[in-house]
Amino acid sequence: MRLWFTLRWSARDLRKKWLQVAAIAFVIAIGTGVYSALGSTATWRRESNADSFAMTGMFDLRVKAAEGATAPAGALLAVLQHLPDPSVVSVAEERLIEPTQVDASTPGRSILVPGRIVGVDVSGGGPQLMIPFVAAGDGRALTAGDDGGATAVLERNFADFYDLPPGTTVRLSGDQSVTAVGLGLAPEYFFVTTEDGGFFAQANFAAVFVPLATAQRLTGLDGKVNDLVLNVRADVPVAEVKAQVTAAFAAADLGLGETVMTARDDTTYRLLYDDIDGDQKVDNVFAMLILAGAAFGAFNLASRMVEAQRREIGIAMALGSSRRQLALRPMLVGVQIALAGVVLGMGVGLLAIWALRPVYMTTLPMPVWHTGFQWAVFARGAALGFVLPLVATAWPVVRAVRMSPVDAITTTHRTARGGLAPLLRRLPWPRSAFRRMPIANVLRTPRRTLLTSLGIGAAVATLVAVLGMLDSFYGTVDANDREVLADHPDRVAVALDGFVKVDSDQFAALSSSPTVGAIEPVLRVGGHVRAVGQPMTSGFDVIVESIDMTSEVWTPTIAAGNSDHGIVISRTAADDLHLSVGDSVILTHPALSATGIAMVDTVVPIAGVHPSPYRFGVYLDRSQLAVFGADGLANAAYLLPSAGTTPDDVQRALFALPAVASVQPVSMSSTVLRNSMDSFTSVFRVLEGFILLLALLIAYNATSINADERARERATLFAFGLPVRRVMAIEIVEGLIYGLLGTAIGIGLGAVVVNWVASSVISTTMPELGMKVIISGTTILTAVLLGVVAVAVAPLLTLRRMRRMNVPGTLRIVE
Amino acid sequence: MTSAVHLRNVSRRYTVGTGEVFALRDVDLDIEQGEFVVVLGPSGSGKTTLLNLIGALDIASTGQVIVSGSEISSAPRHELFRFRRETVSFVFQSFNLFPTLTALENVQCAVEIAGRAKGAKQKAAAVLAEVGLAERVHHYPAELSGGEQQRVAIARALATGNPILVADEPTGDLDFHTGVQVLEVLQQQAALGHTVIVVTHNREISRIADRVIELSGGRVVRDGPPSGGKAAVADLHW
Repeated sequence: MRLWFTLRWSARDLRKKWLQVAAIAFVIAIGTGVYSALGSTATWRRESNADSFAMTGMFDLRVKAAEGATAPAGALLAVLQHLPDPSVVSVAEERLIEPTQVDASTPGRSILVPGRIVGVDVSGGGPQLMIPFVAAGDGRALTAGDDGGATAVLERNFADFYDLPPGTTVRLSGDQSVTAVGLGLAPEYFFVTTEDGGFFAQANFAAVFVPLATAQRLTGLDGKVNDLVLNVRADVPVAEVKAQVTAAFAAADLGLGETVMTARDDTTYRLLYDDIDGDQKVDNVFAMLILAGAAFGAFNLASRMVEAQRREIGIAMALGSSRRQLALRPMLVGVQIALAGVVLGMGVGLLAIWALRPVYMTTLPMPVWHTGFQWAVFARGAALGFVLPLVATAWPVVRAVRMSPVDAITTTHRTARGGLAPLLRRLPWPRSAFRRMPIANVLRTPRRTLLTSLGIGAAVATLVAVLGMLDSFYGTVDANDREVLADHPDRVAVALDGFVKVDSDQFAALSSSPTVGAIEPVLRVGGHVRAVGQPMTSGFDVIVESIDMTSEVWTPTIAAGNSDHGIVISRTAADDLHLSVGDSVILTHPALSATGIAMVDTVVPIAGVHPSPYRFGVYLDRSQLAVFGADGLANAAYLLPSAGTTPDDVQRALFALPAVASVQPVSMSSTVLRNSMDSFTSVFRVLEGFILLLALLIAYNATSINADERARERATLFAFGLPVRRVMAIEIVEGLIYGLLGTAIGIGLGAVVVNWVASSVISTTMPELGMKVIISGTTILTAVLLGVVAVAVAPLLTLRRMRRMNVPGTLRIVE
Repeated sequence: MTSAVHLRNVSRRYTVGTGEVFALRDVDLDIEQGEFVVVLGPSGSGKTTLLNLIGALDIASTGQVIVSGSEISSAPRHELFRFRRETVSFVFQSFNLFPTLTALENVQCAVEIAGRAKGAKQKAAAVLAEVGLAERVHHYPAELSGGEQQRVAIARALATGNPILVADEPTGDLDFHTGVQVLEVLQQQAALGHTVIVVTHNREISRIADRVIELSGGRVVRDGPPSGGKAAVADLHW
């Protein structure tokens, strides 16, 4: 048989089966396309980070004065002239950064948060470093003409959270107002964090960028600066210049108590880079899962499609064709599927990128987002997508050519004598032979049943894994909400400017507000815990709160132990430290002494554990405050609104008090976390759509191939007078059984994947989360709807074919 | 005697490319209840088309087809399904057994489809015993020889209790000995009052029929008793 003849024959095969070929190719395309998109996120983020930081003039070095210290404008720049070679600095600018209170309240909504006035040098078209980038549609950037005026650029993450448009007027401390002429993204706030290590802080922190002269006027620090940012010439090592700058400032002795930082020391910069690999790990898991689901589905479908040609292979064998000739035609089907899969995969990849791009732009707003098609990643997925159909077609071909022609030709071949026939014989139900038919079909062909079920199971597993991750994330947030919002969801957290005596006037001003029903002083400090005898690197950071453990306002639930002598840590923390109640830990914490605040190590027993899944919450009864040298001190408070007042009333009433830094309902941090989670999990939402499509395609293909394989049986049933609806009912019941098996496999496999991701990936990328694996009833229901119902109703797609079947023609296939 | 099958001016044409091909042309035919009829003819003569029209697997292009009193040439689709369930049973050359059902279940299934679910299993077992397969009831088609499979197919057709049995080349795939066994079963059914219509190209088989209808080019060219008189199955040779 000449090649040209085979090619033409194969083209005819394609014409006849183009829909199945296209559908299997589309299954591969979904796998490779989504794989290439998800597998590219690390590259996208690195490129986007680099260009965003470059575009907004991220500093190479920053000289940050201690809180409250300032220097005359120009003094910091002057120090740079004393470097061994001042030309190593390519650009440098002074800034004035001062804390403030921000009131951006809108009619009907109180927006009162702590913030920062950031005075930047706008002379000469600046700033050139740490630029608050204003995108088109977000107003305008600051200009030299704004210097000294009441104009500002408001940090965009904050503005977006509260839907504040450009033109918003915000009040700042000292009853001063500025108008936000633009909303800007600055490199220090691409990802908003707070001083005490809080993430996703866009709801309770506002940076207000103003011209330097305006900042000096607003803060009453005329002619002063306290911050210097600079970039180093490209050919000079930053570390070397850092040492020189540190030495120069030490020599200048400006009394600033300055810290010299590199970009890596900036929390936002570090987080945006450090999270990339961890997040890519999670993305890779799902990328591989979808690719595996698609690969398995395609393998199964392609091999079944070629299996259906086995009879023709047998006939060709009988005619004396060589094995090579026999293999060529079905293998060409594999090539067609593989090629179409790769081409379509590029399209799906672009579609997935299009769907994912806004997700990343919302989750991590940066001025530049690169989401280009990554050919190297695609090539990896496409290679698998190309090879699989070939292997899938080769397998049944090899099986067929190993048979004798008679066995290959006979259409009763598939009724192997083995299988689960003995089981079927023993099955007492159903008694009707007609009703037994779907069960018999499933049991008598265990290999096909297994492959079909696994194909469906792979898609369902992917869906369960994705939805299970969402369940687990939200379930973890819910678990924490139950703990911190229990009994009093209207609890309000007040942060104070600094440490105050509980019996001081400042604290009395809080408790005497008519909006306050009950108040509880809190001392909140950052700390670190580790097991006794372990090095510092072994533990993790915590937030230690000293509260009255008998308070009516709020106390943590004690799940084990008590709160009498020692600290109460979360169960997650105890598990991570491999400790339990009664064991001791080393708590590294700040302690007040006559000479100031110093970090000290104290060995404290674990008195109890609380059920919050977040591992950073550590509680200590105020009776033990002597540990911190802070008897009678507080730097925060929890309070409950008085009868008839709301947290909003409390915010308005307390915000104006001099010692108050911020007033926020406790539920706000949960809302912020939930919003951030929504953005983060939007990736999964995008995946959901692709997975549903994948599962439906697999179901449709399985049914369609089934219809081909069962054509004669259908025709025989028609010949015996069985109406279309009853034949369809057999198909649906059979589909239902496949769907049930596939769904059971999928749910089990999905649960295994979620467990694995939680224990192996999330526990290392987000260890503070303490994520609990949850697979909700809704997820199970969705899986059942997809795996059982969708697969069962898929035969309806072949209804038209069934109705138009040429019954006599189908019956007269001669053996 | 009432006509079991009544065809008047029946034609069946197919469109092939831009032209038309007649598989049957102006056929008039009456087959009485209990007759054993063999339809003879070379390939392409229209035998199977005739069988498909009688069995309501196909619809005549023109003319009238009445089977067991039912006008099927103009009946709606759902009526044809009911007709096939209650009136005609098929035996195919390639058996068309359900590969995932045992011999017993294949027969039982047909009985249930015909709407006689009660006692279907017993009936199926009894009919299988009649065709000599009492020992093979729990075997799957792949575990049976060709002759046994065809006997299961005949049992499946008989068990429905339908009055008309149509068989398309029922011995086509069988050796002489097995073919004879099958023909004996069919002949017995005719003796029991069933109308049996067998399509074949094997002239020898027509010798055992009550009546032979010969087709050529889609037309009836001969209709009458076998030439040389009716023979016993034992006298056949092919």
